[in-house]
Amino acid sequence: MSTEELTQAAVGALFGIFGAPDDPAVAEAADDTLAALHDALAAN
Amino acid sequence: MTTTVSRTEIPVLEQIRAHTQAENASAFLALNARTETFTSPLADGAIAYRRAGGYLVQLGGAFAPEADYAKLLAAFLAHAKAEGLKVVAVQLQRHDAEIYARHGFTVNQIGASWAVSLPEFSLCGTKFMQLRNKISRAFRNGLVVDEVTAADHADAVADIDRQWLGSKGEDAHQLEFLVGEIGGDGQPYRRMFLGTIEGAPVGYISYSPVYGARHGWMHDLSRRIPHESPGIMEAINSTAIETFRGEGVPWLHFGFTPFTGLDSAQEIPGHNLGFQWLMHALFAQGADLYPAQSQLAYKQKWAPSLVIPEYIGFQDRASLAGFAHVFRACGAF
Repeated sequence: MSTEELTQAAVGALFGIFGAPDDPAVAEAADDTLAALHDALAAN
Repeated sequence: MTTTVSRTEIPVLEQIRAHTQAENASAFLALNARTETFTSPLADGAIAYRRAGGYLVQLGGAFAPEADYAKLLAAFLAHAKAEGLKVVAVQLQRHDAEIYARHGFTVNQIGASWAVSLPEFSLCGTKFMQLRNKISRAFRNGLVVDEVTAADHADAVADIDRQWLGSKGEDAHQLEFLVGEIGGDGQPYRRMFLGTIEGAPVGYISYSPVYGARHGWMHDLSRRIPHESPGIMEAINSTAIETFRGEGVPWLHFGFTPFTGLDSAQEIPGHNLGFQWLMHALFAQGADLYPAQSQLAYKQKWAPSLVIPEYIGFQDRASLAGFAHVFRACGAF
């Protein structure tokens, strides 16, 4: 995924947590998305 | 119009007054009614926090003497672990942020707070022309600004709050935790300036005390009745500024605005690049989450002389869940 796509995915994941704040799977997936965005930016 | 209250009446107040190394202009928010205080027999000081879901959301760093700071943080982390909770700390100042990073936190800039040095402040000059015009218009429309005691104007404040909230839409509710409040233990220490037109209340600004080297007041809670004269809040604040300047107050703080004042030079080693990137994205396009640009526009009208970076600290890796729980602690969802 591109940085732009990962950014949109991270924003979507953040709003996903607002919809399901106590779901650990949603939280884990969101944090993985943030980590992927970090890695993509670090690689550039 | 401040009321003197014994320092020993509110323990957390004693701590935020005594331990000001971090220069946190928002420390007084620790006195908010539903904000809890963590203390330990192992260390002097206090930590202000709220529970939100599986998180303890901390306001600022530890308010503790240098020798006890790390011990108090360790005790707080142990307390969270024993409860099966994670810690996320928001509004860390640089001093706190470096200590948290050394203790395993991933720390990122989340925004900034803004402050005006009052001894040099003046509304003269072309850069303030629009602001002066707005203020003049409000006064021409009959605005009168007085410093008042909140308890004596509780009905006026409640009426302004009701109309202000009503203008925000059906689902709107007042944010908590990282914004000030009226009433409670902290009220004798705050100051309020109320605007009226023909005797009817139209807006107010509440100011909280700021301790430390940059002591003064923080422009905290502000509300106005929608569709009244333009410039009401600016006129109220300019009146307060003149009052504070007359008293020799050195600083007026405008408080924390997330997603603003972002500066890569201010990041802490080990910060998450994705979170840093996301803060820029939310400043540009995140008004649904928080109206950072309009908040910043109001603060920049006063040409702040100081931009102070503020940080968020995640226990372990950077976390969108942790970030979301800051908003949850504020009652945003």
